[in-house]
Order: sequence, then C-alpha cells, then structure tokens
Amino acid sequence: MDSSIHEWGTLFQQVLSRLPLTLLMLVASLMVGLFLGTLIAVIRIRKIPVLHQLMAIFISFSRCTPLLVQLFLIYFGLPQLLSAFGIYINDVAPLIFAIATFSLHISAYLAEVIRSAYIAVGEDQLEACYSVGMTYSQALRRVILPQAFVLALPNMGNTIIELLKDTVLAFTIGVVDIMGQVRIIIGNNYGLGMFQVYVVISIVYWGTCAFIEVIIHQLEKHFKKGRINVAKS
Amino acid sequence: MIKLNGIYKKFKDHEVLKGIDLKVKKGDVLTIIGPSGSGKTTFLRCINFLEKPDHGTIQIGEKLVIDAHKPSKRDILQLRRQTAMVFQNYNLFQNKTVLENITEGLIVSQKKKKSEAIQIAESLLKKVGLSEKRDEFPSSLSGGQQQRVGIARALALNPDVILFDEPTSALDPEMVGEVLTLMKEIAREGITMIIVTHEIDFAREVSNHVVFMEGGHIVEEGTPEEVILHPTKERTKQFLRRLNKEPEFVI
Repeated sequence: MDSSIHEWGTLFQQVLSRLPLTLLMLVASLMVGLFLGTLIAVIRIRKIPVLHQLMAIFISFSRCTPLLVQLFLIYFGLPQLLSAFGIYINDVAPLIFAIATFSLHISAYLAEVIRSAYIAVGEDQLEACYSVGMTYSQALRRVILPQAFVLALPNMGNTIIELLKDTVLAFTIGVVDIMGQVRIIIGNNYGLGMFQVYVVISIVYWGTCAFIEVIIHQLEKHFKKGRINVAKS
Repeated sequence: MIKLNGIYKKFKDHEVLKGIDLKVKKGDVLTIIGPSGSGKTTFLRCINFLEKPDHGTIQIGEKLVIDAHKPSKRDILQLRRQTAMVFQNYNLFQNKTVLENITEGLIVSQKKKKSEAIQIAESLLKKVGLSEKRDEFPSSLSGGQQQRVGIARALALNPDVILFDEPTSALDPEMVGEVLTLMKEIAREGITMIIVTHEIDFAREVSNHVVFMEGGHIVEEGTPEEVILHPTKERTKQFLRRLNKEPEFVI
C-alpha cells in the first residue's frame, strides 16, 4: 500500500541534518536583534533627537515591507551600494547576508516589544534608582532592563517563533537550510513525493517551535518569583 | 545644611510652586503639611531633582550649589548621592531581594565592597526588625514591611538628608504605626529628615520645624508649637480645624 517514494527515516535524517544551520540563523539573528532592539527601544524612550526620528522610520520600514524584499535589497543591493564606495563584499557568504537581514528585521519588532515592557516597569523603579544615586545606565542595567525582559518574555516568544519560520526565506538566496534541503530533495526526484517531504518539514518546524515555546514558558515561570506584587494594589 | 531659594515649578500652564525658600539645619526634622495639591510632594521631589525646578537654587552642604537654569549632570548625581528618599509606594527594586535592595546603592553608587555592604544591610535589617526576610523578594512582603525596607535602604546610604514622601499614605492603620515608630526612632538619632505627611499628630510629636503649604506658597512655618497648636494664619487654622473636627453624627 505504500505509495511513498521516500524512506521516512532517511527523509527525516536528511532534513534534520540542516536543522543546526536554521538554528544558527535563528540564534545569531536573535542575539544581534536583541542588542539592536534594546538600543532602539532606549533611543525611542529617551527621545534622543534625530536618532529617535530615524529609528521610527526604520521600524516603520522594517515592519511594513515584506521580509523577502528586505532580503533581496540587502543581498543584491548592499554590495552594489558599497562597491560605489570601493568596498567589495561580493564574496561574503549568503548566510551572512541572511543573518544580517533577519537581525535588522527582528530588531524592529523586538524594539517595540522591549519598549512596551520598559514602559510597563514604570517610572517608579527608575526614580528609586536615582534616589540611591545611580546613573541612568546603571539603572538600566541593574534594575530596569532585567525587569523589562521578564515582562517582555511572552511577546518575545511570539517574535522568536515568527523569526524561526521566517528563516525559510534564506534558501531564496542560496542558503541550504531545512527549506533549501527540501527543495533539493524535491528537485532530485523531479517533483515526486512532494507531499511526503512537506509533511516531514512541517513536523520538524513544529517540533522546534514547540521546543522554543517550552523554553519560554519555563523562563517565565523561573522569573515570576520576583515580580508579582501582592501588596501593591 | 540645606538651603533652597526661590523654587518655581510649572506643569504646562499650571504653576505648582510659586517661589519657595527654605532652610534646613543639620539634625532638623522638618515636616511639610498642607492640603492635597498644595505642591508639597513636588517641592520635595525638587530637592533631589526627581522633578526639575524651573527656577531657583538648591544648596546642600557647604560646596554643592545647583542652579535650576544650568544644572550639570554631575551636580545632580552628586546631589542625589548626598540625599535619599522614601517613597509613598515604597518603590523597592522588584527584581532584587530585600538584602540586595539595601546593598544596591552602596555597591553601585558608593562603590563599597560587597562584604561591607552586606554587613551594613544586615545591621539595618536587624534595626528595622526584618532580618528573617533578608532573602525574600519585595512582592512577598506586606506594605508596612516594604516601607521599613525602604527606610533601611535610605538609611544605608548614610545621606545628609532623608526625604520622606507621604511614607504612610499607602498603608492601613495598623501598618502606619510600625512605620511611624521606626521614623520616630531614627529622628531621635539626629538624622536630618524632611517629611511630607498628613499625620499631624506625628508631625507635632517628632518634628522641630513645621511648614504649612497651600497653593504653591509657604503659608506659615515655625515650631510645631507655633504652627500646629497656635497657628496665626486663617488658612492654617481652617486646615487644622477640619482635621481635628469631631464627627457630626454617629451611625
């Protein structure tokens, strides 16, 4: 009765062998994105002149253009732009372009997530920091951001999962991640057994996402202890 | 010694402080009373620049004088390092334990060694009677306990003055007692305090200098004897009468 042309086991193996690359893109862009996002959030909150307006434009652009377009812009456009200044980046691996694009893209989303969490922490905590003689950056590092990250976790989980799924676009510029591998398998079989391949890739993405969900949930539980205030209201 | 001169503050078109002058000597316990909206809290917050005054000068100690027109960041930081504040809503660091709440300022802004900071914090926790809560988070404490930690945090910094912003307003009557007792105790130790409060009896008992504010002005100031027991201004009399008035009916 078996009409499948693939061995399920080998298919999974073939796809999973590319999972590390997908995860690498996810983690690398997340790290850079988190750093940039925090920076942008603080710039927006402090309303630092010029930068503040520039960041608003950047966020608007990042959120309102398709990621695929951004990827092409950076992969095809950036080398051309830089070559005008005498900088050649044509031999940089597509993977780096992909990570750069994803980092910028997710930083826009994370900036908004962190900004809302920062506001939720409240002015009170900042004033308390000032009252004991801390500078703004000390207050950020030691009191405000640690609390903001905990508040941001649920929304951040959302964004991270979105990012994981967005990494499929990397194959369009030649990065052989999970999706790239799948396209190769299908190509090698002249388009046969497509359904089977997509079932496998769905399960792999689903499993990875579920794993991320569990991690986020555990983190939320872990950090909850210092936060719920029974005495205040 | 603290000297404030001609403090003005406007929020949009609403003038909250209309030229306040005040002198506080070392060891003074100064209470500021007055109706809600009279600018008491805003004035207190101007003292450590949590609120930036529009005009006026703030002098603390012999050397540090800050002009509201051109305050440097360094001066403001220095001012804040010479003062401490106790807040109406406690404002403990929610992500730090009780002990860390007290050591934080010592380690971060005063650059004390960790072991030294912990020693100071532990002795203060003993003083405010919360040694056994040392490793708990603020969220698991009652309001009164949180406020006692807030006071310990301020005391730990060994500041020139501690500013109290209605420290008992968010507490239920039972907890008010424990906080006021603690405040009386530290007042007796000769620590300079500026207290915004609605607890008139407390003000009379503890302070040596009372200021009555209304509409952004100081209406009357002097010893508790003068201001609370024998006020001369009509507005002060009216305010205190309302507070002491017997209930007109009993249910």
